[in-house]
Amino acid sequence: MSSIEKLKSHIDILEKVENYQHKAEFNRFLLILSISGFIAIIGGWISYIFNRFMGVDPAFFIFGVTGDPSLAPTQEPVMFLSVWMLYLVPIVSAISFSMGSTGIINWNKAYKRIGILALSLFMLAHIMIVLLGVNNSEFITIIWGLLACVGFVISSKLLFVETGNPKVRSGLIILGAISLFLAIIIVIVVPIELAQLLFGSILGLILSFSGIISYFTIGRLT
Amino acid sequence: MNQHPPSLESLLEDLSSPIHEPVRLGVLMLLHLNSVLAFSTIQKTLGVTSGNLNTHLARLEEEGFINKEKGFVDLRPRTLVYITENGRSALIGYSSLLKQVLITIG
Repeated sequence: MSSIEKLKSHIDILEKVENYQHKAEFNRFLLILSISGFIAIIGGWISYIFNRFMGVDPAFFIFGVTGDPSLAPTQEPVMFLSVWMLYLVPIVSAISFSMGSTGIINWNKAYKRIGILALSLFMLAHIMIVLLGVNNSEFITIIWGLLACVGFVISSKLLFVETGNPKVRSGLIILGAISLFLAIIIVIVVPIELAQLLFGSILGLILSFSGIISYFTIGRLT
Repeated sequence: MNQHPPSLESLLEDLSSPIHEPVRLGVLMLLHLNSVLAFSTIQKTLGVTSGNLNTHLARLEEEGFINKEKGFVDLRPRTLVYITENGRSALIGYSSLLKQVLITIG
């Protein structure tokens, strides 16, 4: 028996392990996609609640610009800090749970970069919204749609380099295009005060259902 | 002083350890990548019978490479298998030897 034949069964078993890892990695991606869908829905609602009850977008509120002077940070410090907590706690939790040798969330290099990218785009969106000012609210949804599109396209490249999975790449590019077109259509058709709520909810549903349906059709480990 | 690279035969001899059995290698490799897995997941992934897998897990546990415990997955009781630090270092040592063998074979 040649040396390569002696190792054939080892190579076969390692191929099975590799197949499992590819599928497990794909499932992790689908889970993250579904969770981001829920985050988009929650984001849409937060924006609606702020616009409805405080008269401004949360992007203004966290920088101390409120629709009603009685809600200013000096008047309502607890509420102001609570909103900041709402922003910071998920980020700090995600970082904490992924740290250390036994991190619960096992990020690979691409997910870490995507996390940093998401955070940067999130902050950039806030800066752009504040720079546009309170009188240009119709552009807020477009900003979110555009930055979501940029985020999805860059993530597709980062994940493709790491996993080599073409399904992930094309799926994310399609989601990027959907988010941009959805934002444009919503801004044209829907009143401004409902635009972000609808954008967040529809995009969130699309993301979550794409993740869940893909999991049950092509992702689930046998 | 010139050192001759080790021959293929001596490398193959060095490979002979409790890990040098395809199923055990597969189990350790899976656990190295995932830390903890259910017995049934390992069985389905490697395509072995439960009796066969049990025998190999017992051997790996005896060597101190893995730990088994009862736990819950999807609210159902399952046997969960963990890799130990010993298991990890043994696998890393074995992998570098295997890599050398594959390079030598070309």
